[in-house]
Amino acid sequence: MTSFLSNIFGKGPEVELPDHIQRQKSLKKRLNLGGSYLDTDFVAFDTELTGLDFKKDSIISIGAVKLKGGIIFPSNSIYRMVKPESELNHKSVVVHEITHSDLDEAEDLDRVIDDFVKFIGDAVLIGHFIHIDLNFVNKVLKKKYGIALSNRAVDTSTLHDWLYENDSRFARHHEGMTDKTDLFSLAQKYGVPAEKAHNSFYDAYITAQLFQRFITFLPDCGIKTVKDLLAVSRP
Amino acid sequence: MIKDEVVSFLKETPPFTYLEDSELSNLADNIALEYFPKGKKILEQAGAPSEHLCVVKKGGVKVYVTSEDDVETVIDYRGEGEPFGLLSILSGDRSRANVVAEEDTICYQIPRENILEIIKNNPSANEYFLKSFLINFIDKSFEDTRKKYSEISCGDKLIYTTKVADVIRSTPLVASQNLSIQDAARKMVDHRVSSVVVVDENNAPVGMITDRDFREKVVASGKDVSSPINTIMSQNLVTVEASEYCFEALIRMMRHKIHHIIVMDGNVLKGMLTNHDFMVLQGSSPTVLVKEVSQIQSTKELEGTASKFHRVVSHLLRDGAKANNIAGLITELCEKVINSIADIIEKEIGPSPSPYSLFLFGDGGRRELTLDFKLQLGIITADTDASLQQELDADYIMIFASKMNQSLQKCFGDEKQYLDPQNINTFSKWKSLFQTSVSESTSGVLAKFFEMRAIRGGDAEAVYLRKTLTNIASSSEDLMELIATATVQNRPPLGFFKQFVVEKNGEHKNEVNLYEKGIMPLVNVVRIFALGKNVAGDSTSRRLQGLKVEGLDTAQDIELSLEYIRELMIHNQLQQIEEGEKPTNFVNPESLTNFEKKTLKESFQLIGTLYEVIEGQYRTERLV
Repeated sequence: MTSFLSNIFGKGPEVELPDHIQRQKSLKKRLNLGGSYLDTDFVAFDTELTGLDFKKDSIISIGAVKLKGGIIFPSNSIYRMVKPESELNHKSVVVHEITHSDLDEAEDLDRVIDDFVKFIGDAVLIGHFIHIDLNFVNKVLKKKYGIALSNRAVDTSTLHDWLYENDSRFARHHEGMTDKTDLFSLAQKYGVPAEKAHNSFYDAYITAQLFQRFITFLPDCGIKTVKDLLAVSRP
Repeated sequence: MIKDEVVSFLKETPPFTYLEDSELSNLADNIALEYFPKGKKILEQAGAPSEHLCVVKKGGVKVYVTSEDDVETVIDYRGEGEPFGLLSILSGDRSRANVVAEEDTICYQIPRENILEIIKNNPSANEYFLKSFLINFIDKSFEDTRKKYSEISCGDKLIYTTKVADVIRSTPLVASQNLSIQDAARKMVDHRVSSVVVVDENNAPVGMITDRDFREKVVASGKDVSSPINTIMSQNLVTVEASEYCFEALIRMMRHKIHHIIVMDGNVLKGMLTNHDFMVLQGSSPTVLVKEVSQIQSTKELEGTASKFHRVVSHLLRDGAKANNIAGLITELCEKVINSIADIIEKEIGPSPSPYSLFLFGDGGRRELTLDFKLQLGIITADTDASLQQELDADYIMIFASKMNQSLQKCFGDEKQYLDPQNINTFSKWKSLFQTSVSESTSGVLAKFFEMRAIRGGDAEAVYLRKTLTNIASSSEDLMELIATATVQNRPPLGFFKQFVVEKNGEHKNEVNLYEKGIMPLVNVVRIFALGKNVAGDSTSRRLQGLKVEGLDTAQDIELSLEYIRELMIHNQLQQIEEGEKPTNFVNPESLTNFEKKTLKESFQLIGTLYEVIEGQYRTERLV
């Protein structure tokens, strides 16, 4: 019954929410939408999933790296693996090359997500097809705290498509190359080194570097503020 | 984790190689990754100082300064693993140069505080930074900083990085050429100097007198001290331009066996450099090896000479010496070795019955040898009438030649025929060879003899023959056409899509011969240009200086390309040596960074353009 009620009404007031979750509620007020995105804190992140079924599947690992504007801080990053609730799905073993033995260091999902929320703080999130990752993170948060992340999000795939449509230099520069917009194809197309077998951490790093490249085109397109950026890179 | 990637990148990037693992890990914690699209100006001359040391991870940047009248001077290109922004970190006031991304570039940025800390706490890293950056001092205000550091870092490199103008202390004592010997001597005593520059009425230097001249030409020979000093002065004035590097001055002093060299700024006497100045500058001399090889007493001592050369060259490269200077030094060393060997042979089999002249041609003649020692020797023997004498001479020279070859092979550890019997001829035979070769199709070979240069015995014959050849060339359209044709046959190794054309098979599959495809074409082109414009000079760099004066626009590009390819080649040779292989001129383009590839391609493209110029000037046939 409790779980049924809490799903409907959220947690009762008698349960004190931890600081990092409490902060989420006032987060939107703190973001300066009129400021330059070059002075804004970002976190690029990616998850590995057992599959794409929102109901059945869940997060295997999460990786994230911080940026300030277009500058990446490679060491300011986290990578966590999650103990699987169900058997490892064969397909994702092939895609991510995570094997069962890798998961020895894995932790509980709740704890990993808590640490992730602490890590991102107020930052604007960056991801490639980020809505998928957000959904799986929020699934955990809703279940545990009854909230979803309030952080604003930038989708590099949307941003890429927008630039392709709106910046002739951008289009001309990359003429005749692949149309694929998956992360690895884009990495190759824009010269982001991506030789590592991909896990969520390297994918987050690649995403950060794509973002780093894309935003150099923005000033000439009249995109100056965080608000402008969010408008052209909506998930 | 990415941090491991950062640490392993730093580990392979000097000077961070000198740091402990814990220090590296610390550094990696504070590192940032920044991206600059092609064309982006990263630092602005006189603008804000850099907050970080940038190390190129991928791509490349151009460092340049612009003068007040907007003339751009490129200081350096920095490619993968190379840093920029140090000068303004050290000074903290402003950026010394413009830095612009030459291609899409990713950089690691290390915060200023971390770099200053490394410099403070880590002597080897400190030394590295100073060495690599001292090469590019940019303005006067940095000079104080430099002076401070030159006291604590090793002095050797300074001769490669310091301009003559920066070393001369005062203008030398001058004396009019009509002054009497006694008055001149008194003047020298008064000023407590050991030399005086003799000038004409326009104050232009015409000669020099040193203490030695007084000893030898006045006291020892009882000369009248009231005679004018121009009767005892040495007239072969050896000079160096104030804008040249000290290294050049030193080389010239070694070559002419003199202890004083006059410094000029165009036509104006600027000062004088002495051995003493170098000793002060250097602390210990890099010429130790030169001395060592000149003092070789037996052929046994020759073994291992090559590896000594390698060590010296690797030091020079690390100290930022120019490839052109290094080639000059290698040549100088080789000449010393050859002379030492000749001394030993003469001690063994007695002096030659008739005078002969030993000369270098090709790369050695141009003073452009690298570590694969493409040394080519020839001999001019005297013309004699008596057939008996001819036979005696020939026998002697053949023994001499075979001993010379054996010794050089021992010295460099190979089997090359350095002194080919084919290149031993009497003076008149050489002359007729040159005169008749115009009609022959092999005149491409002749090109090498434009740079014959005697290194033992008199040089009059070699000079005469060289002039003969030059005269033939300037009067014979045919010879020039043959030489031009031979030159343009050697096509630059670039395909239609500007991809590298590499060796298809054999030992050097997938590699490019930098010497055959890069150096030789440029050298040949410069020779043709120089002959066409009557520009003298026996080295390519001299010829280029002359051609610049003649207004050849591409001279600067040629110079840069030659320097670049030669440096790449010497680097490559050193690397091969380090890996225990024989040094060659081959490089696999795939092993180069993007930036290196690009520069190399541009050099090859330049060759193509120059060929077009030549094909427009001379009737050439392109044989397929």
